[in-house]
Amino acid sequence: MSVEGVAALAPDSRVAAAGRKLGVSGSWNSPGRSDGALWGECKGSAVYQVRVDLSDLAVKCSCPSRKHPCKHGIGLLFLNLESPLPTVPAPDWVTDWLARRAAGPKRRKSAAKRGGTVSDPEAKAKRAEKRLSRVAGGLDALDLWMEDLVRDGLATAGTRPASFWETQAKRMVDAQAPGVAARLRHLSALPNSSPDWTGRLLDGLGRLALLSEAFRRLDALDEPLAESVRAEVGIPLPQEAVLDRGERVSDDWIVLGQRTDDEWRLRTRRTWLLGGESRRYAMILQFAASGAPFAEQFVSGTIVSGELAFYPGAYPLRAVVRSRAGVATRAVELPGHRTVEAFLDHASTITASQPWLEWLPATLSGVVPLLDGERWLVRDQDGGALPLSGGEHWTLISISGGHPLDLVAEWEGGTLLPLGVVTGGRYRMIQGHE
Amino acid sequence: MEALTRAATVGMSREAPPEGGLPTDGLLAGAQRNPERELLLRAGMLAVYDAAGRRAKTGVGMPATAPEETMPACSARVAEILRPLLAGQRPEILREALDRLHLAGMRVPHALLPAALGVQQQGLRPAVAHVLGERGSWLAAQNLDWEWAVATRGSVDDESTWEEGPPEERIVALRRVREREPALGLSWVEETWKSEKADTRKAMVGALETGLSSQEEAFLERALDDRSVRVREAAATLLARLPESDYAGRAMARARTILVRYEPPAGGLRGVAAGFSRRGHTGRISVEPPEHPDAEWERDLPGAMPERGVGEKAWRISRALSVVEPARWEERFGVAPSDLISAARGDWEVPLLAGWCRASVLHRNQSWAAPLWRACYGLEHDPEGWQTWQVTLSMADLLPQSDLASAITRLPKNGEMPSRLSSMLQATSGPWLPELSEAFLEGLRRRVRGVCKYGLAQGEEPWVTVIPHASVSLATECLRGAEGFREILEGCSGPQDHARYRWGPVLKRFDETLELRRELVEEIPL
Repeated sequence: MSVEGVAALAPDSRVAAAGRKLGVSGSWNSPGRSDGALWGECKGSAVYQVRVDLSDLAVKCSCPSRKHPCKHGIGLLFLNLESPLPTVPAPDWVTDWLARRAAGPKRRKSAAKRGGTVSDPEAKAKRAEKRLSRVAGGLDALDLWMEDLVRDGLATAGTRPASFWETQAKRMVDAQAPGVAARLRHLSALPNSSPDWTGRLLDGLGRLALLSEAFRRLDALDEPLAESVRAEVGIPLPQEAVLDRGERVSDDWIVLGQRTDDEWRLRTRRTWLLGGESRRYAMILQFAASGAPFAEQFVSGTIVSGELAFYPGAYPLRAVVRSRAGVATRAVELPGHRTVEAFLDHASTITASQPWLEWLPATLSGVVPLLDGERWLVRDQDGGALPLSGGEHWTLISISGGHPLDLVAEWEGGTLLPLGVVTGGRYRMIQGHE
Repeated sequence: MEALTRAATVGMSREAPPEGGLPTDGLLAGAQRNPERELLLRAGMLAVYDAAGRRAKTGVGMPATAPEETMPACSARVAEILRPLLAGQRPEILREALDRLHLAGMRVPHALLPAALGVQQQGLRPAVAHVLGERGSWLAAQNLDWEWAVATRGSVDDESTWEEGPPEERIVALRRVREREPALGLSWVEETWKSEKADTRKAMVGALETGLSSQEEAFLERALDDRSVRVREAAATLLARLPESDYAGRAMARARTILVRYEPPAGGLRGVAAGFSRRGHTGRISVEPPEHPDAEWERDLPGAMPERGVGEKAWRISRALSVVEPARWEERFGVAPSDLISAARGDWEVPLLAGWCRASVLHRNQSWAAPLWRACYGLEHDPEGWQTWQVTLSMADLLPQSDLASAITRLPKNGEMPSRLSSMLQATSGPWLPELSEAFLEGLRRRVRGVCKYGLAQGEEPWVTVIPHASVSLATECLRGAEGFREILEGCSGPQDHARYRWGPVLKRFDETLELRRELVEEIPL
């Protein structure tokens, strides 16, 4: 794990800086580590017991801080980074906590099971039926709305107030199709955003129309594609079901990068993973109220060993963590596509099987970022190039210095949004809009 | 696709979409739909078809690669400290860090270069340019906004900058030329003088300060008749600094009609030795306030109007004195500065002191600045209304810092500081010398204990106003061991809550700033 990696775990830069200051041995009483955990007592205005579960970087501290993880937890990680802590037997307050954590998920699971046996399967099927018909009703209304829009002309969308989109999005939420609502909100940003916005808006509306069409013919679709359609509309499988029945893959997962969207008082974080052995991509989707921490922590550029359970679909990408084991180590190499053409082939195979995916992870090896006139591009060794989105990319160009680097990005269907780079065996996060 | 988009954009009520001709149309066969639905589905399928068939852009050349670095990068920790500083926080600490990196022969890491090149304060740019490394020059050459970083490193053509550049850069180029060839610089100014705007003319006169000599006298005399009062002011300021100039002669002649006579102290030599401290043992200066100003007065002393509440005569006394090199009075009366200053006591003391303060700043005369400061610091009546104190503050950097250090050491037992001392310390630019730094730290410790013991001062706390400036000005050598000020406050038995409230955050920030600077010093070894 790197300095930036630890700093990125902190909820804000002040905590990171304070933690950094605590990362010296003078601040700690008998710190130690085992295979799965770090611990130590931090001396401040009081003595706090700090422990970190290395399998998922969960931090527990006895301090009263409202910020999580607190500066003591970050400080302990910094301390271990500076010089690895001695391996000694863990005190009771650490082993107890680890045992409680290990027992935790099972408890939840058994509770869920109990809930399952209590509810009447017939009533459950009825509820599911009811929801499907509500969604179908909502999509009917959406289709009429979209048809009106093309009849009057998309040009009129350029002069509509924000409420024009928001009202429709809220209707979709009410119809229990939040996936469609999210798509509408993305589309609402398009009018007047670029010279070809009407074309891009028509693209988006067209895909929405395909989605509603597909939803109406769910029964005729292959089951994996039907699952994808349900998930895109916003009726995902419950997480418990995925944990129980989803496809499981154990691997050393490279944390490729993260993207956090902060909108509508909700923070959404996508974490992209790539299996070192299986070469499978995975996306962990997390939600948190703004200001609150995400439940599961990942540090870009590290390797997390563990088992994922994938949501079913025509191209299973979204996954949940079933178990994390071992210590997060640093990734030194990034498996990736050597040419832009090879990546595009890979992307179109996926598009052919699941046409509604809005983002795909992209790892490109040995590309050079450059500014060509007004266009920000990455270019491979064969001369193939792809445009970058997200504003200016001077940091990327500066890090590269005209030399090839390995890039992690989100493929947005036509442009790449850089998330991280690897140069000289070192991972660096790239924050957007630089 | 364009035909589809056009129909959708203007509205299908006005334009029908094309019947067919799309590669994906075959997939839609079957169900009956209304035309709008048909169009949407066709567009959706085409969008997916396009996305799946996307090709790489070709024909993009490889960029030139950056040369190898010759300097090592600073540590990751320094980079972490620099990032928020480069974003505009705490410019004083940023400057210290940049200067130290330069001294240590280090550069900023590549990932920070866009932030470093984006530094907004012009004054910091030379310091930034030193630590950009090869990658920095390579990068700066690709963005017009960063041209300054290319220019300060390569050889620049000052003449073309002068002829075509934007106003500020023209003046910078002019100053550079004045350093090398003052006469050439003057000739540039004279050539374009008539066609320049007033602001530019004023800046041009200001730039003549670099390499100023009697060669400029004739030009500056002409500038005294300029249309713009600000140009006239700038010219007068420079003329006053030419000791042999006709202007300096006129200024002295005018001032001599005001400071008519000096009478030595009645007690003879003993009285002189006793200095300014005791009334009755000092000499006396006879002052004749000037009558209505004549045309020459108006020409030589343009601009500046009397401050509010200052009498016309008093103002004219101080104005006339302000352009005369103070050393001329030592020659004229044959007495040391401190004796003349103590002899100023009387009705016109404040205007005399104010005039001399201005003059010692203008002529950078240190042997007058120190006794003037002592006199103004000790003025019995309130000098604020006169703004004499403001004038005194402009002498801050001329004063020996040992004077300020001993003023701190002499503070009373509770450590309270008069606001005059605190404002003078605030006006003293960093880095402070170790002597002043140590005195400040010791004085602050004493004051914090004093607050615990005796409580808060009435009204504003002068220490609190100067602490932020001191935290970035204290000498690097004194940072070690200068910690834990907040702990003194916390550790005291029973400081009142409002003392804690007033001082706690200030001291916390003080401790943090010193900690940050200490870290920079340790992380950038010289």
